Amino acid sequence: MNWRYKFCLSVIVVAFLLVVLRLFYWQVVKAQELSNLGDLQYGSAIKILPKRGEIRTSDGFPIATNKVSYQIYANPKEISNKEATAQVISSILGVDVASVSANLFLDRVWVPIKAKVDTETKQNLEKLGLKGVGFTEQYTRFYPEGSMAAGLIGFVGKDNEGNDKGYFGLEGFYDRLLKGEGGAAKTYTDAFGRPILAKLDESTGKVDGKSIILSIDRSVQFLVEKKLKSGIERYGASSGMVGIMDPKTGQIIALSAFPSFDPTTYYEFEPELYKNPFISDLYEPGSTFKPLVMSSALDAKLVTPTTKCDICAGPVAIGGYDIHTWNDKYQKNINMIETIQHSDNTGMVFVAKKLGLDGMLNFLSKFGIGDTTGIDLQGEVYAPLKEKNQWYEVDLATTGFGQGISITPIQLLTAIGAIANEGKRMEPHVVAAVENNEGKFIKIEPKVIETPISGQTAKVMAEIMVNAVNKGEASWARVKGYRIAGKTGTASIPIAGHYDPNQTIASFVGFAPSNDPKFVMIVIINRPTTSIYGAETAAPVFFDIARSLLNYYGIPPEGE
Amino acid sequence: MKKSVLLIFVLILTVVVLSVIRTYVSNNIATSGVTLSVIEDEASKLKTENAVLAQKVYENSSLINVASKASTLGFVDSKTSFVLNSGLPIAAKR
Repeated sequence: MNWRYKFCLSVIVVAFLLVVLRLFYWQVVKAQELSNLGDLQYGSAIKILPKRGEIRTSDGFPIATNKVSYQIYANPKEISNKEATAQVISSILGVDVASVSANLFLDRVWVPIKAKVDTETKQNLEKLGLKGVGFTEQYTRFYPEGSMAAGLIGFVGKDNEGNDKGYFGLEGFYDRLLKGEGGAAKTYTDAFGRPILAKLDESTGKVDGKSIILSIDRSVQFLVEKKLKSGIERYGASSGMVGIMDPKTGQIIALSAFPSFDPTTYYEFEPELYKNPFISDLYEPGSTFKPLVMSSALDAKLVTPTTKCDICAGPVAIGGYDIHTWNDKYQKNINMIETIQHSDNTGMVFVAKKLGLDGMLNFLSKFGIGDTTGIDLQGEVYAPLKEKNQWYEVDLATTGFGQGISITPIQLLTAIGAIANEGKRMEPHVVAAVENNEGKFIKIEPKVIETPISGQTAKVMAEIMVNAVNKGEASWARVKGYRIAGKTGTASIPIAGHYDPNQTIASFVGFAPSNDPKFVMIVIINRPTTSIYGAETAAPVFFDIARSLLNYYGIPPEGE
Repeated sequence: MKKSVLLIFVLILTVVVLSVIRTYVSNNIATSGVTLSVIEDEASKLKTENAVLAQKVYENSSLINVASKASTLGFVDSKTSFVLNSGLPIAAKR
């Protein structure tokens, strides 16, 4: 009796163990495989792409947004008359009939026909009810203002995995913020393919991209682009750029460069056009650099506005070189106000010598020369200042009038902005705020980077620059009735160890109104052919834009 | 004793009633997935329609388009501007 009992018990235990082992096999060892098999039978998983954030101008208008487009595809196995279908598709979509036909004859169940098809075209095709032709909705980047501010915005291309990725400008710099995070969704259906309520659309992880709000004023940007384009044509220049900043906050109001590209069809343009020359191109600033050196010497109390130059009666010989004025005219005992007014190189050599190498390096660093400005755009470059032991006497002299030193336009704009802003240099910013997914705005506060000169020195320098506008070479183009501080620049272009005698970079930098500046602006006209001088090319463009801006901001004339 | 029997009865009854209700509700909503799916499709269509309309609004209100239409209609840039200064008072105080 006892052995029977034990036998039965053993059989039951063994059977139970076998069941446990089998369950372990299915539920642990084969769990993932079975789960995947199940998913295939009653569920479908799809990747949910996040919606890319918008880029809006200060008036809230999206200059970069998303539009609905369609991927047209076909299932060749469902199409009976392939030749006729190919003819119809190609005529509506405007694609080569041979390529459509070749796709339709492939032995596949899904072939792509055309991507980024607009809604109207898709509807035209849909109306025909072609069997075996389908549409997938997708979002593509859309720029309602076309190529406006293209160099500033950048464009959206694809990464190695075929996902959207921003390149250059704001699309590149803020790519992680704008693109958001993708998610996954599963839809479960019953045996008849009907969705099961309890498990309908289990989506996880999708976070749409955040939108950014720029300090760029759309109206000003439009105006600047129009006037810059016409200026480049009028003066037969190869290119040009304009940057406008609020000197009190560092917020960029407009930034434009020509020639440019269309961000929608960026691939049709030369890649050199993608970069923003305003932050990516180095140049010798020439005379527009003089206010920085002069204000440094004024701030260090090494000169006063009435200090007379005792070496300005003729060319100055330094280190085996003769330094001339731009027109080879010399004025004995010229003072500092007149030095800026006549853009006198010898006067600036005098100032540079007074400042000395240590003083020059110290002030230039404080003005942000030799470093990045920290602007929130992809691709900013800088040329570091040479080490102290690499400076020759002539280098110090030529730096006084902006030669032999390389800077970017954004560096000069922010440095001159310091003179306009009581000596405080602000960090330049294109983005004013970020909108999070809850619709709340996170403001980007203005940031003072450095105070290279005192407020008092800044006021004196501003007055010297107002005098230069009213009595200098560009006075013919000035806006009468307004106090505008400014300085012309005609920079030589270094090529193969010497300066090109026939080509220049003409520029004008300034701010207005001088006593309470609303904007600081730089205009650069590259290689003008009608005249090589900044006073005859960049200055008229500057004052033309300034006149419109003063009207736009409703600033009345106050007398010169 | 009677009280405990009554309590057990009430508990059992509650469980039975709730089970019946759950079964009834589950049966009723079991096929609502289809309806919900239709509603979701409709919402998706409306979202698309909204996006298409927003796109048209942006296209039509872009400065490039407005400037082009203004030019066609004969509008030109203003070449003069007027400034209204506050005039001198009739009797100036000295």
